[in-house]
Amino acid sequence: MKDLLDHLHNDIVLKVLPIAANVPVHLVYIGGLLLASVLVILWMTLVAMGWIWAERRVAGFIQARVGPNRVGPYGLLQSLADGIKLLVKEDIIPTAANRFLYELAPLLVFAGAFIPFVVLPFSQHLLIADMDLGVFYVLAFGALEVVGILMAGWAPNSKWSLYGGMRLAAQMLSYEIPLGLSVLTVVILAGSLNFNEIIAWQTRGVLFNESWDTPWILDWLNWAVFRSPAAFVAFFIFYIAALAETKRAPFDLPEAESELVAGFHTEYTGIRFSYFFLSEYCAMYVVAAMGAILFLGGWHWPLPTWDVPKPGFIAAVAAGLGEIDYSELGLFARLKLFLANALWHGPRETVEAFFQPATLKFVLVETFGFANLVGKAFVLLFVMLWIRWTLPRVRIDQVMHLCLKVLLPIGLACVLLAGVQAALLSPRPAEPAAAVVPAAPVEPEPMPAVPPQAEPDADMSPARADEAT
Amino acid sequence: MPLPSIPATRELNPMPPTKSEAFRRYWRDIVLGVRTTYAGMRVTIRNYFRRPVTLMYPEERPVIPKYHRGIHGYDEAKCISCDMCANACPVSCIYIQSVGRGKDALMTQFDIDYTKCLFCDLCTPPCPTECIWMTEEYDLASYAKADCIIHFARLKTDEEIKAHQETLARKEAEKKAKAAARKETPATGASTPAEGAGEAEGAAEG
Amino acid sequence: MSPATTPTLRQDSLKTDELLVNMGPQHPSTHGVLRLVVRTDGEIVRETWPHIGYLHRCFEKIAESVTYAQSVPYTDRMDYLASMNDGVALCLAYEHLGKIEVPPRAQWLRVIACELNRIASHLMAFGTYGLDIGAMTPFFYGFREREALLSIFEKMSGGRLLYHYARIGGVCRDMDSDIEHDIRKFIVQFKTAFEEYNELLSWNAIFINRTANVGVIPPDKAIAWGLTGPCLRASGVNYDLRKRRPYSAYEDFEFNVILGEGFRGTLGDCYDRYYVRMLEMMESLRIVEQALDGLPEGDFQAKLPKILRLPKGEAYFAAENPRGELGFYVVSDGKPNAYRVRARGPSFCNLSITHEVARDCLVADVIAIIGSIDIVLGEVDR
Repeated sequence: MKDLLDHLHNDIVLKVLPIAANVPVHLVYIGGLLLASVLVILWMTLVAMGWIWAERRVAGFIQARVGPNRVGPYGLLQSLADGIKLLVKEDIIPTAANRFLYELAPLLVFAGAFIPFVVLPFSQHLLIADMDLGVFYVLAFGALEVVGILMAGWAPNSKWSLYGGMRLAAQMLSYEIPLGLSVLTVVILAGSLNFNEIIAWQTRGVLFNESWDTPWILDWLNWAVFRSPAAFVAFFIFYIAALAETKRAPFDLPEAESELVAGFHTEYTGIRFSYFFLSEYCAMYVVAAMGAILFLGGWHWPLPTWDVPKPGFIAAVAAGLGEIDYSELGLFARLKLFLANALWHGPRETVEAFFQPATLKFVLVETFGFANLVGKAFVLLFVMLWIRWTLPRVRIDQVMHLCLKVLLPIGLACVLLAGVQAALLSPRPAEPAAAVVPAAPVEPEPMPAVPPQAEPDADMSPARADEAT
Repeated sequence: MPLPSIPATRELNPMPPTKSEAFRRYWRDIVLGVRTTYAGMRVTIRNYFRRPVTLMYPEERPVIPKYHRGIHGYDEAKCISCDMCANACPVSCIYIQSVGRGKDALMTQFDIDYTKCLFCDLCTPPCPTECIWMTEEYDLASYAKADCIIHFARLKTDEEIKAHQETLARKEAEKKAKAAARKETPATGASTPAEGAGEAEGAAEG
Repeated sequence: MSPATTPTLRQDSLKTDELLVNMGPQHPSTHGVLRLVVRTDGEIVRETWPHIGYLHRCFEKIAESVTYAQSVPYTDRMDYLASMNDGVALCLAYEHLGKIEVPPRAQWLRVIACELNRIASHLMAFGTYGLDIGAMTPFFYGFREREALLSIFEKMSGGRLLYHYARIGGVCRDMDSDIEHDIRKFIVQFKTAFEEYNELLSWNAIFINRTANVGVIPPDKAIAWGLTGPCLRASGVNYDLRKRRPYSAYEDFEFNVILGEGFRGTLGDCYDRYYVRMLEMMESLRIVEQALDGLPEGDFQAKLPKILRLPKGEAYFAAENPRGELGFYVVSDGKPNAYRVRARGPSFCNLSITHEVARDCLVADVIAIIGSIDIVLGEVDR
């Protein structure tokens, strides 16, 4: 091993290093982004295929039968087999279809399900971009799906697709409002749109109190659902709106009216159909993860997560590339720095820095957090499946009635209550006056006509340094 | 027969009479929605944990009761080629051909066309010798339509058929001779045992 | 839809055309090959025309060329979900014409078979109605109980769906204690399952919202359009052939006739038709219990000549099928086969009301209405 590392260091790295050191950072950054995209798509595929399998098995057990159990142990490879089947199908496009829109629609729907993953955390440090606008970002790009589905309804030039598309547009757009309102409830209570801050708010405090610390066994009381009756009701509004957003039963009129009528994705075959199918399950995961993060405490409980010291390789990275405030960075930015540093310091130090106890602790804690968050999201997903196989379908006018006459007023009431609670029970500290209140108007000093005499150089540098800061 | 009396129609779901009634109904609908959803979900999750009723065919096979009407069973030796089953069949799916009739019959064809058979079991009761019955066999899937016609009678070679025809012709001749002899001597009586043995031998040969 | 009735579609200046939509003969709903042509204005259905004939198999013509006994298995295929009842109806018609006496044991066995088949048929109606409304689980639960019934039928008659149990003059086989034990086990199992069905579907708020006040058929309209069976009784009309013109020893049994009363909405809406069927299942269970307890001894089939010839004449006899009044009008001229057999299928007459009722409602309501009428295309088309 040592010889290998030495060989690597002397023969390869020292030759590559001059070139590598000149690689512009933004290229490395793009490489990191591509890596992130690949990982996200991998996760999406895994989640989608896994939950398609789970749906069929759960449906089977609920219906007193078994689901797929032939293709691989317990039928686990069934989704793979279906995926391969869809891939090799003939690509049929109706002659009268609007070809451009027809081909674009599945991609837009897929994008709408894919983009929220940028900001959705998997654990405290396992996220691509820690945006201060995280929640808003997810809601905004969830609306992209609606555009895609409208296109999918219009493009194939088929009556049934049009029906499905129109119904779905009405349903999805309307249910964005209660969804947003319920999310807003938690945002008001937590005081931030940032996912990590919302989860941090759910680490201490119980009902109507912001500072009590609970023992580990009662840490679930810190969750948003139990912190306010407004949030409790908002959770159910969020869940129902999420069911409607992802076109799941009992709101699956657009797709499963395909019993009598065909839905909006009737004219799509093969991989185009699988885009819709996959993005439906991914959207389900996104809203379930949102629910877990916003209402159920995120990656916090039951498996323990605690702040661990930064692992060794991060320190090595920092030492290598100067003073960088890396605590704000997500995993992929760190990966970029790690790679850059590995090329600089060489593989031996990098490997030795990586396999330190601090790093392993870090990995353990992040895994626990991941398990917590994904576990909660999966529980919510299971309940989605459970509801699908229990309830009949709601008619479209009743869907709209539910949204506009039931969820919307109750959602508004929740927001109001949350605002009252936030204002009364946890007053925010006063903002520093300088930032908000403009200073007393300052009269501009008259510009001297002649610049002051240049002073000798020795005196200039401190002044210049002062100007520079 | 006189028409039955028609009860009065209840008036169609009237609008709630007062605003408070409307409010009450609004909240009642929400509560009912939640309660009935909970009740339904309780039923489904209870069934989630029950044993599934699926039979893993073809590894596990269902238990077929004794009188299941499946593929036919046929005893060629007992068949007397009386055509009762073929006549009883509603779709005429039994094809029978034989050399001779009665106990001497040599079945050359006893086919049942299962693309037509109704499995109605009308062919079994009329059979006087109980040579056709329905078994519990159900799984005879095949790849060709011709395989759906089951030939129950063993295929006879031409020599067998010819031999049997000759036997029948011989017996016919013997019978005619006996009848002629009886006509001439009306007080002779029944046939001798030797003739009965000869008939049995002839039947065994064919 | 003849050219004379081709609708002229309304076209406004706002370019909101009416669409003529075809819910074709092939659709995943399980009612069979029925084609519905629907004129819709956006989401609202203005008119519906059912087109039938995709399953016509010439039963009446065939009955003219086969003998009486041979025509009975063809009735199994008419309403394939209530096969026992069909056979019993035709045999009753022949027995009525030929003045053939059916032994009491055979009559009681026929009653057991018919009532158990009523339960099976209503279970299928319940399951498929759940499917139409969108709840996919009750279908499987209904089939779990139906499986027990089909096993019982298999022991009784030898077949699982097409039984040919009723023969002219009686039934084909006797019942033994094994079958009786199975039926009693089923009765106990079904009572628990029925509670489950109610919790899952009947009391469900979404289901009630989908079916109550939808497709209301007032009683006068129901009689005018010739509805029979649960559809008629759900509109409040007390007409059950088992009470009005009892056949096959039904007068010996105690049971109630279930009438609709606007359980959750209006009298005669879809929910009424659905719930009448559910309650009828429990009544049938009562009848089966009484029949098992009091089954008389005797023959299970009357002695008939080998070649049955019915006397010259005509007779009409109707039985109460799970879907309505199945009637057979038999004309005989003394030969071994009938001169003419006319089958009055209840689903055919029940389906005719679709045009009247499925208008000015939503597309989803059309599905609910057709599902609540509970048709079987084999009976509609014969």
